[in-house]
Amino acid sequence: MNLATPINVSASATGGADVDVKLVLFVDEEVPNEDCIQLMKDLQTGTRRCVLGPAKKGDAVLTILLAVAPLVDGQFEAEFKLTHPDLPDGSRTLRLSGDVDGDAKSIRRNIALG
Amino acid sequence: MARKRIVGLVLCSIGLHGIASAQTDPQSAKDVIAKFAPDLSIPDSPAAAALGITASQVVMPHDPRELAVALSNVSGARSGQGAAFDVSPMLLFAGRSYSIGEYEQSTFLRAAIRTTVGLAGGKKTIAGSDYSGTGISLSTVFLNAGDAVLDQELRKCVNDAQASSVALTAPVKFEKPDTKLGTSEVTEIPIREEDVLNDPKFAADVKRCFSRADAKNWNRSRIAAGFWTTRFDPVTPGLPKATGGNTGWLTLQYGFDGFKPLANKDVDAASRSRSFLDRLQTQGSLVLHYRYTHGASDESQIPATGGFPEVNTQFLATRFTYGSESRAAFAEISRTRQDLQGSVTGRTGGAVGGSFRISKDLWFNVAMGRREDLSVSGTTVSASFKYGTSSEPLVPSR
Repeated sequence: MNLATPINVSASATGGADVDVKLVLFVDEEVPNEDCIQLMKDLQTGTRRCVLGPAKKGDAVLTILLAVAPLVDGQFEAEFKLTHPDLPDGSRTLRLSGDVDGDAKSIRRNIALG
Repeated sequence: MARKRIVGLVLCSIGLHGIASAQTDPQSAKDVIAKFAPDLSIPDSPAAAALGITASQVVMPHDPRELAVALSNVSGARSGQGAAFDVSPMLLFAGRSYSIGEYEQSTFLRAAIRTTVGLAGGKKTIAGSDYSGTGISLSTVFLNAGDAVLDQELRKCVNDAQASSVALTAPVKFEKPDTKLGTSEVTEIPIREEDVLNDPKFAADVKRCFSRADAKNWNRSRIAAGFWTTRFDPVTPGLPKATGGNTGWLTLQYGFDGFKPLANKDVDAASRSRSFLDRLQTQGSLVLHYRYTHGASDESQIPATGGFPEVNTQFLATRFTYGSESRAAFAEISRTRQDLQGSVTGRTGGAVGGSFRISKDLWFNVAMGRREDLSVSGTTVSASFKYGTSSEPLVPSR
């Protein structure tokens, strides 16, 4: 994936939990620069946008760190729309869903982008 | 996101601005009210007060529940049994149709969501005979200083806990990917147990945010008003019908904001305090309640023929409540001025009682009251179980 062109991300969340997120873009197992780490707050109160990169060409892995605070029932769904010319049709959507019933929890997923 | 939306009179009044904000504001007002409302206690239903099946006379404002039911038994000088049913129609039928943004922006919507309709039925002794009564009430809380939905400190607290949590997990070490971007437009990623990181500080921080907000917002200053109408039918045919008349009421509650000894305590500060009362996290409120009733039957007069004579009454009471969201005691005194076709009489009354939270949604209220009356004088004791339901608030009960 040629990451000289940065990835645009728009994110939002629904459900009974408050969701903040940190996105980290690894290229060839390293974080190329500070722009590859982004914090998005309060996804449940509206759509958030950020840019990851730019970086070099290589194997891209997106790490998503969620800080989920259960409010009504702990169920949440966080949606991330990634836009980049190397993605098929120019964009892909990741939809993370779960239930953190009980205590607030931190969650991590690592996704290979190619 | 597809959103259910009930188009109605209230929605129209919110205006286009509110609708636009809702589209980027997915969390509904109902969700947030349920999560934040610290005072889900169930005071006597206004409809039950209308029937006189409560020893306590002051109608208290409270945070809305979708549904509350109460069973009361009153014994002593003014005996009776009854059941009351209160519902918040907006929360029950349309609560998820409004976003928290709309709730924040519209005073009208807030009042509509806090409006409850009550229906009470019961048995009561009037002039020595048994009567069955029906009462209907409509009430709303216009102002609530303890509305935690609008509590910016709570929001900031949760946000800070989240920011701290994600900050502490950085810098992130590379890990082999566990998921590959799918070929379809949307890749669904259900969270698994192994995705959850060990972060006890984050959980504790969020819990502390809610405990602090809960203690801060319980029993704060509020203004409520309402209307009720009642009628009584004799159990024995042939006796005259009676009416409780039409009543309008206003309750002003002062939560001792700014008065440190009785105001809400900071949970963290209270836990460090040497004072026993501070550690109990108790606080007080002072209530002034006024109501005017038009065209009620004068229950003290046994009619020889025809119906009961009708009276207009003015009722003024004050009540002091002290306690916490799970247990509270109160004392109230009242003065009633009754006008029977130009003949004015007055009487005083009083009551003491308490409320205890048995479980999350079940309350036991007990009150003992005494009223001087023309025909019925003496002590009245009422006991009631109250059950209320709402979307589960994750406010830890102390």
